[in-house]
Amino acid sequence: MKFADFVSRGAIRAQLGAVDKEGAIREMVQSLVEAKNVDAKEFDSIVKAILKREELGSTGIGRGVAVPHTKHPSVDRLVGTVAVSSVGVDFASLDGETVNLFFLLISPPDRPGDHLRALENISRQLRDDTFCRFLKQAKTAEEIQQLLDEADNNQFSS
Amino acid sequence: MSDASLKRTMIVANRAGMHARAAAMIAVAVRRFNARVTITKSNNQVEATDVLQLLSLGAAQGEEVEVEASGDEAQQAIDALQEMFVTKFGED
Repeated sequence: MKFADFVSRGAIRAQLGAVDKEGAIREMVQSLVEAKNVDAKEFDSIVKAILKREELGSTGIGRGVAVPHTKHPSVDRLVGTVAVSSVGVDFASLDGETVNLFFLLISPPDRPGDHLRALENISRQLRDDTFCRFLKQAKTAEEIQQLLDEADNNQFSS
Repeated sequence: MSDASLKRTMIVANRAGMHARAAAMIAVAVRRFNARVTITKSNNQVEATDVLQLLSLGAAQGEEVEVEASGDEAQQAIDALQEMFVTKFGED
């Protein structure tokens, strides 16, 4: 699976304004609403579901990366977005570090395989330090998109 | 005290596979032990304490992984992981 298979181009955010977990999640889900990937009337339900998942254990997986996610019946295919915070967000990560790089995923309840493949792709690409560093330094959505495209085209060596 | 490493094949039994929460459970558990633990799938070997690396395996339901542990508490670490795999990470 490639980034292009699940990352909504119109929902990518280079400058997250939020500095806390809930604010960051709300901002990313809102970006998916604005990009028309999720229905506006599902906004509260999706945010609540993602926060509930966080209660089971932070999706801040270390190295300044978080993968907040949920299953939700309002989507019929895996949809996601990427966001960067230059200041960092306290996400209660496993390694205690703040998070600068977010991959938010919403998947249909009956498709665990797609979710796993997306996580596999994200984590494989992020094992490349150059890709990870460039993403965190990206200042515009266009820069992020370009980096994702380059990763999809195997231009990073992970 | 032994330099020999222990190896055990484990099967991912939970429906969701080795996703973020399962990977985090593994990493947190392994860090409790004085042992080095790696997990291998399809010749891709990763450190069991690193969630990002664990997720990169993309281990789905029904797939086998090889767990290898060395160090003073290798036995305890591998037994703890076996229990997690067998009990499906508390899922399903």
